[in-house]
Amino acid sequence: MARALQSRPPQPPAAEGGWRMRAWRPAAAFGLVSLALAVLVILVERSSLPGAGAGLDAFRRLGPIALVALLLLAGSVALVLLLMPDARESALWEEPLLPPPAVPAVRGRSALIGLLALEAGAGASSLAFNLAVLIAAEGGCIEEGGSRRRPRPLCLLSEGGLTEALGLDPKPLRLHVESLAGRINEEVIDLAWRHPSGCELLCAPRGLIDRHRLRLLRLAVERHYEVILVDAGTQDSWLQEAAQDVSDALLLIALPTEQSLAAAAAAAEQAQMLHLLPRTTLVVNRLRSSSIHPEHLEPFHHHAFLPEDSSPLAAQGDAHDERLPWSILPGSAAALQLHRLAFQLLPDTFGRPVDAT
Amino acid sequence: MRPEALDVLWVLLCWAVLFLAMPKRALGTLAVRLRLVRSGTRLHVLGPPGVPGVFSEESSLSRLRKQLGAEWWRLIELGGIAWVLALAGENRGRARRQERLALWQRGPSGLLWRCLLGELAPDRMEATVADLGCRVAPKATRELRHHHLVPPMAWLREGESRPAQPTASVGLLPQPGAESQEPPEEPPGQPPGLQVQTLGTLRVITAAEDLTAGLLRRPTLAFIWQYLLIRALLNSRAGVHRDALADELYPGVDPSQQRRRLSHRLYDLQKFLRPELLDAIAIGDLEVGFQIERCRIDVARIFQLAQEAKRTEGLLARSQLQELSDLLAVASAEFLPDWEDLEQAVTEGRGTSGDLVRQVRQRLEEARVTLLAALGDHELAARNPGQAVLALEEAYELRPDRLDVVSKLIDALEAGGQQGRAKELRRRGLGRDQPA
Repeated sequence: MARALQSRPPQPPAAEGGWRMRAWRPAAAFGLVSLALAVLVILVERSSLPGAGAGLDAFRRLGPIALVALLLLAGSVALVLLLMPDARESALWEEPLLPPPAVPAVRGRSALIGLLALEAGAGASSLAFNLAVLIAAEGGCIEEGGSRRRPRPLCLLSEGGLTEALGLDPKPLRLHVESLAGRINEEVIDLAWRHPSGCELLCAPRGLIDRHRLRLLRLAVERHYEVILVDAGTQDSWLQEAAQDVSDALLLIALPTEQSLAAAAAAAEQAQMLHLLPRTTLVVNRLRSSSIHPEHLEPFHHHAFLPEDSSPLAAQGDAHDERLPWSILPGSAAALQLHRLAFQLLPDTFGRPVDAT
Repeated sequence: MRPEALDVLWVLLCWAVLFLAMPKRALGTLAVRLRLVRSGTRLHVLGPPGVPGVFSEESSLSRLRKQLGAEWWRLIELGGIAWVLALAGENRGRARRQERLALWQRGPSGLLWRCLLGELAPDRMEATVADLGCRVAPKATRELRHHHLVPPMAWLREGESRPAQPTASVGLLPQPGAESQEPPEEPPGQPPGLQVQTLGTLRVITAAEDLTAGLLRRPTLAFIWQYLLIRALLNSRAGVHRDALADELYPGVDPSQQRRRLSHRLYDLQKFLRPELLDAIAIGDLEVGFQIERCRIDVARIFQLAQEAKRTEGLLARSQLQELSDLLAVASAEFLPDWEDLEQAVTEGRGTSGDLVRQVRQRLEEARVTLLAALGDHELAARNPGQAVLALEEAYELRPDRLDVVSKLIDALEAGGQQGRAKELRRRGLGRDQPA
């Protein structure tokens, strides 16, 4: 066991202590208990208690068979240790048991949800995109012109890796703003690219959308979309400020790292000063262990946890393509949490609860 | 064998049984985990088996060997009883997940996933989802304001007061083949050819035939033709570089692919378009352009007249006034109102041609204001302040920031005796700083 633990590959910093402790403590306890039992058995065997001797005699007759069985057992354990480092590794893996998200509900048409990354690579863009696709694919039906249709979210993605992968260009929105001398009008709808799911995506050029323009954008498009999701990356401080100011609900996207948690603490202080805490949620993304200390969550009224995904379909390699939304996959723990989050956040738009049984 | 050795073996056996039976982990949450695993919500009691190759095409023996290897450690860590419960729960959960997977594959998300993987065409996916009772949201479209070609009241009143006489129309093109109508009067020096109406709706006609339907039948060719026209309206002297046109037509595609596709489209253009339409297009090795001088285009004439009006002050010549009134009647219509739909169909709105159309529309609005100001100026010079106020008010509504318009409007208002309104404009500081 000790060898197995030593050969483990390095884990994320926040999780490492927790993993090692969890594995060592029961092993040590087991060693002590088995030692105590061995002493007890020897004492019993040496004693002259009635009945105990008969059991021991019977065992002595089966001695050679027990010896062979033990050798086989030890041999197979050794074989597993030698041949199956991955299996040995996997046995130590423990998926966290996550509480359901606690998120404030946003009601009314065309809610604006801001997703603020607290750390580069926290996954705000991916979450915004996946949430938009999820709402478009599985949201509640809306009556329109005598027929029923799914909701139509608009996702404003910060310029970055995901927009490149999706083939979204920031140029049209920049040209639109420049041609109208800084204003944004309804024609911006024509710039949005429709994803096959029915959601629409816009690429926000870095440093272009400030508070005023985000308000104008909302005014221009709110009649056409049920939800507006704004992905504000760490590199665009203007958009982050704007999202903080204009959003109906704010999701702070963090990773289970010291950097994210420090940024979360600072964001909580700021939100408290601006009286934004009631509509702010801390979302801890890609959680691999439940070793988040409660004090990090304390300032926030609302929080949600999304695990590192391990669904069978994700393991096939398809879901590693960031253009494919994992949020619609069945059997994905992260998708399930996102379902729950969407239902709590947008009870009117998302429409139906998640089957959590 | 010596009895002491047997004692040791007995102890070892007890230890082994105990080793397998006893859980090695804190299992306080085991009940919750087992419930979630049984329901299929959770895949594993503690964590994934992590057996490499379970989903790959390995041999059964190899998979079994690996699974057994993984299970060994689960047995050791969970302990016998919990391990059996976990196995049973996982089996039941797997069955539940299979049921859900089957449902998912038939539902909107499963169909969408197949569509995203390229296994299902988007239109077929949307049709199947619609059959399930709730269609996928269509693309949001803004409400395009289609302006109707209605002449202004002043023009109508003037027309009614005049004896009937044939007039040359620029925007309202004559019906092709209508022999009873007189052919439009050609400006001197301009060869008769294609007539293009872009305001209100697109119409492309020759003296004998309406070519619009033939042009619009092929959206990509129609896009190229109109795009070149738009570029020519913004800058009549410059052609469009092939690379720029290719990038506009196929945004986000590899440049060599863009060039190759553009060559095919230009070939199609020459093959499928009518010669009259093709005459307006100049295809070179490097550039492609629209020869604006070979056609009569309503917008181009409005721009030209606006340039002339800027140089004119006071009274206009009768013919000039007539043409100006005619053009003003059609200039309020939207330039290429269906362009956005065409652009969406061809490039999914990912190009920048929408900005060019916006530029033309802005220039058109500017030209309209200039024409209205010239008309107001003319009416004022003709001592007809009431008519001047009507024209200038219209111009002021369009561009309240144009100081020349405000100044003329104040003059017209004062000449017409509307001192209150003139003062109000002055008070707003939009006109001259102080009254003389």
